[in-house]
Amino acid sequence: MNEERTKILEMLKDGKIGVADAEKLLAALSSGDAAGNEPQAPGGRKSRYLRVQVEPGPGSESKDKVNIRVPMKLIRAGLKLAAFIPRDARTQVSAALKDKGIDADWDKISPEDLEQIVAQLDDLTVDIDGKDKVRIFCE
Amino acid sequence: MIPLTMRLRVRKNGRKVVGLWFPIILALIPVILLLAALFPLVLVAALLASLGGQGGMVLRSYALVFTVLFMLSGLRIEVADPMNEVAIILQ
Repeated sequence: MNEERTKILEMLKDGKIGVADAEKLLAALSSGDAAGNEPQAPGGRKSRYLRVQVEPGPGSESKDKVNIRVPMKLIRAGLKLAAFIPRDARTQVSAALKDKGIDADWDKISPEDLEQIVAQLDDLTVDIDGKDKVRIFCE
Repeated sequence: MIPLTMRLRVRKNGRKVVGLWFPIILALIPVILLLAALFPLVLVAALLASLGGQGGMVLRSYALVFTVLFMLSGLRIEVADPMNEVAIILQ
């Protein structure tokens, strides 16, 4: 943020902008600092959707295309519902996931942890260019 | 927001099997009214469950069903290969 302030003041010194414009820019910077803690999608808005896109690359054996868009609020609601899954069912889910190679103890993940994970999804961008092109992002 | 329309597209071996567009809100409104009508029963269940300390959970799960229904708008699932396709779009 100091660099940006310096740039604004240099532009003012060089006469590229007027005093009123410099003042507006500095005020905008200050309000941007105050809101900096809130996770925001590019473009300044909070993300509404989680997007997952998979496209087959030229060397890919599979030709499946996947395009999924899930509202973030639905993810939050779904996670809250998942908290009501009985312990026995969760054990079975963990065992099934372990068979697929995902070894995680879901009992240790609290609803607060899940909420934090969802809150940070706003900043998530995954771009994988391998055999298949995979993009995961929030918009 | 509650979804107003649903598009369902299924293509198998290159041929369109299902191509459906319908106003899903006409189906969801009776569901929501039915859930609302069940509220007294849910209250009774919550009171009974509160004896075991689970009353809050019953009410929260009831509210979450509404939340999920109202947050479905914008859901889009499309999976396709050159010959087959399944697409579900709620708007």
